[in-house]
Amino acid sequence: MEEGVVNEMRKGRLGDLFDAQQLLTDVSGSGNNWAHGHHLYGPQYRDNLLDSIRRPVEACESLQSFLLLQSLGGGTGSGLGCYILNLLEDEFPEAYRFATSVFPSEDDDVITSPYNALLSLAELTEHADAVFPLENQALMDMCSLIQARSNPANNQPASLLSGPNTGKSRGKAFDSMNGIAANMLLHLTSSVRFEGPLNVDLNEITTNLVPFPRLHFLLASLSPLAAPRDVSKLAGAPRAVDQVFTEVFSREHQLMKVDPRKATYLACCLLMRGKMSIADMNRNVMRLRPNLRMVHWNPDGFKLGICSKPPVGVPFSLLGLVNNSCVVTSFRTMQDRFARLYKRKVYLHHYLQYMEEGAFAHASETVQGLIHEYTERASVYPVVPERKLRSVGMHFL
Amino acid sequence: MSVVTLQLGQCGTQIGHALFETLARETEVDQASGKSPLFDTFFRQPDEQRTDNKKKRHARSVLVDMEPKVVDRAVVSAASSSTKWCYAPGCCFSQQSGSGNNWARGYNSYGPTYVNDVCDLVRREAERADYLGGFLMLQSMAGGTGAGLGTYIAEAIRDSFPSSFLMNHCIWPYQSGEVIVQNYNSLLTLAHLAEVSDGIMLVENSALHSTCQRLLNIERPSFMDMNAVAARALSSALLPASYRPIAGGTSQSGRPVTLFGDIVEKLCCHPAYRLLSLRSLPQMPAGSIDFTTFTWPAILRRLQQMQVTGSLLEEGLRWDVKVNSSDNVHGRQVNKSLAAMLVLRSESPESVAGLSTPAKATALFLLRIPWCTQKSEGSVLLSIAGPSLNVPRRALRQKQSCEQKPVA
Repeated sequence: MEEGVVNEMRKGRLGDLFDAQQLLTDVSGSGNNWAHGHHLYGPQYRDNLLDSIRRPVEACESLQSFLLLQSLGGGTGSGLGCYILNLLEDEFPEAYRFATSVFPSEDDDVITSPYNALLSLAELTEHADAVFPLENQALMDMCSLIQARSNPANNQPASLLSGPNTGKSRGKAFDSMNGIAANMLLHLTSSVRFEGPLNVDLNEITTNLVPFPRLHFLLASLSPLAAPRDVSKLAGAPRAVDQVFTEVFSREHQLMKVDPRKATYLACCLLMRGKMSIADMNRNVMRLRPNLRMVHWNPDGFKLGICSKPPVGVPFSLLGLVNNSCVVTSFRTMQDRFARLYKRKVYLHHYLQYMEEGAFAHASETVQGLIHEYTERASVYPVVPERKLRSVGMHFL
Repeated sequence: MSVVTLQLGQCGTQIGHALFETLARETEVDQASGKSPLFDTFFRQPDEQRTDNKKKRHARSVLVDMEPKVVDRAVVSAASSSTKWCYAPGCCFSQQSGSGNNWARGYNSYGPTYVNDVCDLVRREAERADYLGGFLMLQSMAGGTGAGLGTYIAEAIRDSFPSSFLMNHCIWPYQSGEVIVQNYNSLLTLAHLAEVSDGIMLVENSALHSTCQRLLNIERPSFMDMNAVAARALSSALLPASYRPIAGGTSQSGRPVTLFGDIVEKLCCHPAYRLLSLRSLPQMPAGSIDFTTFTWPAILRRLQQMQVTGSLLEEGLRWDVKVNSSDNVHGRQVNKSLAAMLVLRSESPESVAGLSTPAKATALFLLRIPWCTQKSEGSVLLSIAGPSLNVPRRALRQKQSCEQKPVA
């Protein structure tokens, strides 16, 4: 809803890729106000949005899914983004809706981000088919890790930092982080675009990784983050392959600031790119499986995929997508920050201009229900109902 | 006598490609001696006699998949292969969206929508055959297209061709999981196919994997290696052979095997018992063949012990398990089989003439065509056995017992 960013992109290197009719802007922006984006701009631009969306849909032979890229802390991305999510559900119910959402970090620069994030999270829980959450803090840590590991004299940026301005030393910080997120999406769709011995389509991701409809928050992790100095050593060395698998399950490579090893895995998907065989994947799954806490009704829950074409610059790479109950920690933090603001009803009047207060309570309840469902479903051992023992001699009570 | 092959889903397409490669290589040698019966069974002459591809035979096959990549790749690599065969133009059916590993989507959603198109292709292929021997369906049980849509197509074929034989070659997925919902898909597929199919050959991915690793010395087997092993076993069972009766008598001796008819008659004698397993010997890397001597008694002994212990691998056999010994009073350790078909092939068919057949075979077939690629003796045992399927059944039962609380 602001012209600045879209104009900059249009003038940049990739400006020709985007059809001018597909760009929708307004002047003033949403003011970091979820209600402004959702309840004001949404209905106002509904027809324009539908037109813009329908045009590429009609050009498709067979529409499978929509991919939403948004942040949850602001006004447009979260508010208008969730409105569009609802719109897509109404207009194209058979297509899958995947959302790549940037969750706000602890030290976020937007003060009303807890409100925006919680309201969006409630919408995403109800209307999206799968959500790939990202956290800025995690991406920043991964960038510093890459810079620490890669050789500065190596001017070939064979790493995940292959964003538009990363070659220059004065590139903006967000470029590298966006590069990581972009690589995650490229990896996810690699099997759709290239061939391989074991293809994994986007709809297979939802079928295999979403055991119950609301538990659809899939944590992503990528490895390797950067190519080592001698790339040829990587190809074929089984120890390097094993290293990649170990890293995917480690805390530093997750795209959210959570530790999946401490929580329960509901399902796990490993997508490999490069000239690897199913034997490598099976061997590593066998090796790493005992260290993971899997839920009791899905102890062998691994989905594997192999795509022949490796990413640019590295001989192979691995994407891990897990449905793990550790995302609950992130939701709880969001809930706490929301509660702290909501208790005092600060900044609420900006929102109440466009929406009712009941929506806040409803959103909070939805997220509470989601947290409860995650913790309940992810119990490793089956919950045995307690049987009340009648004490001897006390039956007169 | 012709067999129409249906390759369903990614797994079916890739295995079918390997199967036709193997069959084409086997017939190359025999082409020199004139028209061979193998030529008619799985391949045919192209419809239009064009001068440029006069030499290329067309495979009698229909490829079905819900995404275009795998089918296109198979067609292209067949056309560019060194052996003289390719897929007929117009034998493929593919869509864009994929089944998403969802059996219900393949069966209930894509099945009714596309069944007419696929059956048209199958019918056209079947009409080109002078004498239709039956249909062979290659599919996996873990996916969405091969399992779901494949089952629907099997039922449709059974309706359209009620008196033809329908054999299914199904791939049982790895226990450790390649697809998370594989247990649902496998169970549903088996349940539906059991009513419709005349014989279901179950081949386990883990068995193929172990064969490649331990017997063929391939450290990290890829799907191509595993497909080659499966194709070799399947082609040995399906290549033309002549019948040799067991209990003496020369009445039917030497007659050619009617491809699926004899298999179904001799093996699938009871409608409830249709699950077949394939054991093929010997499996060894190509480099070791020159250094190994093959004798029939040794091969047959190993094969019999594989059958008795229920193992699918030639290596690590337990020789202490014997059929008529007093140790297994309840016969628990011995793998009981209902029927078995033994196929022997060798360069010199006379060497097989004087063999005494092992006790457990109910039918014996002799393959007339020698191995051209391996130049060794080999045999294949197709059998129905009960207990060897215990392991997969246990895994299925475990999955079924997970409790599903209603979602709030």
